[in-house]
Amino acid sequence: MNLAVDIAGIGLMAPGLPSWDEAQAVLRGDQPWQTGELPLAKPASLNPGELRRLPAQVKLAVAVAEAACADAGAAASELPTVFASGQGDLATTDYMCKTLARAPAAMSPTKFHNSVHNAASGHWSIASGCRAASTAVSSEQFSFAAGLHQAAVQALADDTPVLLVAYDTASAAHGLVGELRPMAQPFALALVLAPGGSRLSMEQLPARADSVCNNDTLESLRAQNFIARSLPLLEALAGGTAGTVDLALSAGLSLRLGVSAQ
Amino acid sequence: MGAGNAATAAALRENTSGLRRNDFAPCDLDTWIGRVDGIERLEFPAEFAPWGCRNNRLAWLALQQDGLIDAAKAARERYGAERVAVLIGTSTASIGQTEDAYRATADGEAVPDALRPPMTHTLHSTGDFVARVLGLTGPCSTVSTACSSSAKVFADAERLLRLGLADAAIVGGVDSLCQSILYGFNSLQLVSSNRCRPLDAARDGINLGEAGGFAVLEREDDRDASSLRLLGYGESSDAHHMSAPHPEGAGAEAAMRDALARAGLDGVDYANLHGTATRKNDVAEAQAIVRVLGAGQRCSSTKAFMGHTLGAAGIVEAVVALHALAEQIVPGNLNLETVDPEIALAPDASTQSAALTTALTNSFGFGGSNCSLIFGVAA
Repeated sequence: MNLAVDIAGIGLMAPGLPSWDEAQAVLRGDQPWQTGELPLAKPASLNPGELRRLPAQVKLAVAVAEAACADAGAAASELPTVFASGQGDLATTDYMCKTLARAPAAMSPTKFHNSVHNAASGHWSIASGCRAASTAVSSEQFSFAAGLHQAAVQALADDTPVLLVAYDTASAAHGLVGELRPMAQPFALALVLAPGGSRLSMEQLPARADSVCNNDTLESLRAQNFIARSLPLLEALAGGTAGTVDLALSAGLSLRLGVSAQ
Repeated sequence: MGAGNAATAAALRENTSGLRRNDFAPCDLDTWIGRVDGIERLEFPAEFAPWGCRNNRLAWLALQQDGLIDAAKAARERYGAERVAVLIGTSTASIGQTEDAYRATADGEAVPDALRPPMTHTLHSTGDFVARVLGLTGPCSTVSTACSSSAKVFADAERLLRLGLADAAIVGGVDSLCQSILYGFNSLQLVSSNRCRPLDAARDGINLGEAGGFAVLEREDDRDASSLRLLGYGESSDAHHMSAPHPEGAGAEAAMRDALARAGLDGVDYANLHGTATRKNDVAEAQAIVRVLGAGQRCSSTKAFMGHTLGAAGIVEAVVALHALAEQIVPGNLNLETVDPEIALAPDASTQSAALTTALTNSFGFGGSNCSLIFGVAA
């Protein structure tokens, strides 16, 4: 079956691509990509206490989720959500394991409850007052494709717009787990997928090589974060013309993503 | 509880709890745990050494039970490897291995080679391992929404099958004991030093456990072997607090109503409660049950059989609900002496015979993640 949805909104935060609007020139190939510091995420839907206490990864996820909802003009409180991350929250994993090795009884209850993979999902639902279904998935290098697939499936199965939030942070500052699970760059992307349109179609084909970036300066970023495998799709969406992108979904399947002209 | 369906059904019939005093070193907390025997001793295949960790050893043990590997192979041969999805729920995945690596290097030592493989330090560890063991190459995801994880995989599988994106799905969940959960729940003051007593007036917290389980799902018109059915599922969020349930169980109510609506039912013959034995969970869930299903609902929490198995609780209690239907029993709410006066439900402490055709099971997790499943048996 060919899954077809509209893309109602996009939120992006990555080094050198600080927002969807500001990324257009690079994604269209008019400028080379240059790495840069990721701006500190300060999403408006989090209160000052949450901004102080929440893990950086949660704030990054909430920031792109907010941006995609604003772009779509969608009410965050109504949207089912799919959160996808290959690495999970390495900073919190590092804290937990370090504490357990040194002084386990000193574990912070707040850090413990933020250690669940669905921490971003939980904080997003609290901040947006959303009681719709929410999930948090992980599929290693296929994490973006798996999240995209699941969000489209849910949009069509239940005839509802769905918010996809995909994110992985860089590993450098996160101790031993960062060494064991290296990831050079952070990357976060949120999409609001809506049924009833066909801006984006997906077909499951036997596994084949992933499409590469047209702007070859983006290739190093694509290789440095699981979620950055979305870059060829983002280039196609920024271009505004029709195109296809192949993206591996699993060991045996690729998604052929069809982007129709805007 | 033992390994396999026969042992599980016997334990349920005979009210036999698998809980023991905590002996999960180096943790020395005064509590009871549900620990699976034989994980450390089992022979783990050398070809899967890069996936070797407690969680995947437990997955391997669970895969050997009840002809699961043969059933997966049959699905692979019937539909093709890329037409069978693998959807695995877990909360802590292989984190025990990461804890071991930190402990082994606490004084500046190098990481031992055995603790290095990257697929033993990540959430998708067990999903990837199970797909490789079964030789399946279709959509493969790990769902990690805390204690609702391996209930939600049933909903994901139903959608893939309904839209024709897979022809069968191996769903399941595996969560193994680790220091993170013992000390983590201890930090929240939710760990009981006694055998847990769900719904009891004197309950004082949870016992942690570990478990692994799997099920093979196919579309109804393809089935020829089983009379057991997934009739409905419901998913919701509390939007309330990361680690405390909505006080009136609003999210739990929404999940149950969603499941009933999808099943086309007004009620069920048996409800397997999330029933963790924390003060807050049991009161909130009972209020939601009373509003949705009524105070007379036949129900029980089976957490005192094997403890709270977190990300595996969804599959474990789905299996309990399926045993209830297959054996025509209402599993006992072990260790219940006096129902909390704030809880308007009246479960039996021991297992009873009953005529059942439908059973609901609830799984609720941190982050306010709720999932209810309804199973049925053809009369």
